[in-house]
Amino acid sequence: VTDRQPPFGPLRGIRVLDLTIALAGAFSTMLLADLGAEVIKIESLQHYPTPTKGPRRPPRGDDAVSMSGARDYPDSDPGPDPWNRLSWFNAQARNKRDATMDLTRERGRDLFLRLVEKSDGLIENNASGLLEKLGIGPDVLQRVNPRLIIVRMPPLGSWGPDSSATGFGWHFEDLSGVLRVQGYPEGPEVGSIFMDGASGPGGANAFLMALIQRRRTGKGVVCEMAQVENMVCHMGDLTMDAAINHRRPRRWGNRSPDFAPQGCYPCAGKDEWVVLSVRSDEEWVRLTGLLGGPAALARGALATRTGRLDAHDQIDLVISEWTRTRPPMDAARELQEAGIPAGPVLDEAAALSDPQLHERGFFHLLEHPSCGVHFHPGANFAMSRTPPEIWRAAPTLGQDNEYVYKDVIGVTEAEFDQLIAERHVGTDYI
Amino acid sequence: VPSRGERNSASQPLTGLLVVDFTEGIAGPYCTKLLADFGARVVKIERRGGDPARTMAPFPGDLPDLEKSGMFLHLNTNKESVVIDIANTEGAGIARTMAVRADVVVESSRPGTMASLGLGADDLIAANPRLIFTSITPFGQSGPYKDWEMTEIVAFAMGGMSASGSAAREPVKLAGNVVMMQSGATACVATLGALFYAEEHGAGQHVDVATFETQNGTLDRRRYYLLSYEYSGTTGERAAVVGAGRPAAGGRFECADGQMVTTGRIWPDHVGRMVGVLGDADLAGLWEDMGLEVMAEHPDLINRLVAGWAAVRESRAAMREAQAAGWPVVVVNDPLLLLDDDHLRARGFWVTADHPAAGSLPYTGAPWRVDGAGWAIRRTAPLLGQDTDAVLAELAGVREDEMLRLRAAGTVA
Repeated sequence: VTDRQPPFGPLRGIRVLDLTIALAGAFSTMLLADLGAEVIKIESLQHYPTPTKGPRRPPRGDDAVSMSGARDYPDSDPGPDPWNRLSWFNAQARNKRDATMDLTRERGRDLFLRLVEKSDGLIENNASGLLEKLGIGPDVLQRVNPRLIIVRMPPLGSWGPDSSATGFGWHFEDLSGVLRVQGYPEGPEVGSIFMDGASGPGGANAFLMALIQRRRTGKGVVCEMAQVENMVCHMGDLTMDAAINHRRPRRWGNRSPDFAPQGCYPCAGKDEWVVLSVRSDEEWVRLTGLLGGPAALARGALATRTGRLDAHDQIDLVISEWTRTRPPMDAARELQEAGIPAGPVLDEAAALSDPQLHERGFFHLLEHPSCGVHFHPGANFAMSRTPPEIWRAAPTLGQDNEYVYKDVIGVTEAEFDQLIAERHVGTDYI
Repeated sequence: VPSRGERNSASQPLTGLLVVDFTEGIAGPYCTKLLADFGARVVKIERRGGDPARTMAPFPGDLPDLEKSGMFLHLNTNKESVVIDIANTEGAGIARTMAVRADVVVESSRPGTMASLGLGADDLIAANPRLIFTSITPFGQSGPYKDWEMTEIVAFAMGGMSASGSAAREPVKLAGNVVMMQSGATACVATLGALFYAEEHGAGQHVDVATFETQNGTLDRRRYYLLSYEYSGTTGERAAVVGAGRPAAGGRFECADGQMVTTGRIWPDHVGRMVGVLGDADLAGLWEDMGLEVMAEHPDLINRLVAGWAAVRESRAAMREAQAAGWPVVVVNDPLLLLDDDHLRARGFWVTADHPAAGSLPYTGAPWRVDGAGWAIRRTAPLLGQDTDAVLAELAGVREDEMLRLRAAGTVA
């Protein structure tokens, strides 16, 4: 397939090499690809990337483990090439290109440096020191291309007493301090992978700031985004509470120190919920009106937020009686029409049929060589002059080798054939 | 006003950039905080009562005070505050004079509001073709929900909450206001992209960011869960423990200093290293005999040994000892412990800065560093209207006598 990336977006003409693993860095390069950058993911046939593409041989069967893993593959079938069929990868790799070269061999390293010469950026989130070990540390790369922007995304940064600490997202989210204050007030605490999510915009922002700076200076730079530090910046209200009041912030669950009542309430149907927040005394009056002025909510003490915070449990019972008789979208609509912030808990099925997301063009129907045709989540922003385009589905392994080697690096046909023989170039892991 | 071409002596990536900021609340101000903290000049236009974030917790002793909101202090570093009643025609005119001189305008009002005040994207871009006009709103500028209201819990409910919490209970939100802040960071991505284009090609545009979309497009159990549903018709199950199931062995353990460390789920690659660190002869024998099976067969023994190992060590020392052997163990922080985290302190992450009303406080530091730097707190969050006179004189050419009249009329404050 000789598919050409159409010129679109503000970053048209900018080429970014993607040496990321797992999810966080890949989310950064997805945002850049949606801005129109040409993002080339570099893989190696010799090194199977489990954190990025899932198990090479996923368990197959009808036991619980196999079943729970299978949901991430088309028709719950990992197929003969599970690495090309995994939702985690394919959801963020659409709009990207994929080429293979073995960076652990001299020839692969040379080819990579030739590619670096023709690129604007490189993004990576490998274990600290890996690039240096491969002989492609920032000093080497910027000697080849002084305009190259390098974004590194180590969990704790490249220096400091614990910078060499390793772990998974769940380790570093616990180190970031968020989990002790996240979840149900009386327990349990609840995990997330928010840190990886926040790292996406973080890495993309670092790259863009360096790109803007490069217009002035003509020089590339190394950016570092320590994922824990970026995460903690999203918790500034919580760390301020700790600093101002010398306490561990409360675990509020679905409630809020600012809005009362606020919660998640049961609706008609199984596992159906609606949430709402009352931000002011005026909104409280509107809520009680919508609920038909129940006597239990008529007490004067409830006219203020502090009074409502004290009586939150009783208020929740009354609200639940009302929500229980309605589907979540109906409840949310009635609340919104009364000017009260509310929304249905949208599971994946509900989101994929949501009229707002469809009318805004959030989902894109894309055909993937191994997976078939599916709706994919699109760009996370809209722009009037340089709108994002989602021009193709995720690449399969090595799908863009011809383009990257012949059109970008400029190798000859003979050289290309030799690289196939040497197993730099290929479409199957070895 | 410094124009883009004059940003030669810049020491920060965005020095010389003028941002006129109409945003309120959390998402919009987090976006403009990032611009301000990396060098842009951000003029924050506040309504007469101030940005509603000034009424948001935390407060000293939980007593509300417009100048002491920890939320506001966090979100508005490096910004100047100008109070203008833009609902008033003359006030809107003054705001417009400043906005058309800007490189970037950011706003978060209900779609159509800015246009009705003569401050709409089309209008301002017609006056300044290089202008980036970024709207950060709950549901975007179009569609059936565009006029709906949103808070943090609504944003999460409509984009991922179905998978958060315990299956036996109601779904539960993430801590604090992280969803809104991530939405602001995403708006910053789109804004910087548009800014690069404007500098390259001389053309501005309207950037339309919807928190509904930043959240449904986020990585955390949403973007790929949506594709998983398309692939297999299954929805994500609600689970309190995220990341490869509930481990029988491993988790959090209390240390000698009363703090905790966590092993997380113990990955197969790390079991041998853990056995080495624990140094127990019985476990070492079992490991030799049965390999990875030991995890499933003897979780109680492993938990007891890790607990005993942790109990006689300070948490940080336990983390470092395990890490040195290649076993991923980390300390468990909370927001209070985080302020004293040895690693973050050594990196100078926390930046202590003084505010005239709130006093000296530690602020979150650089979320990323450009060439090792680029981020700075040049000033703490502004007092309400503290820069009105100076900014209106400089950027809107308002003379002293006019200022008196405008103040008397309540158009500015």
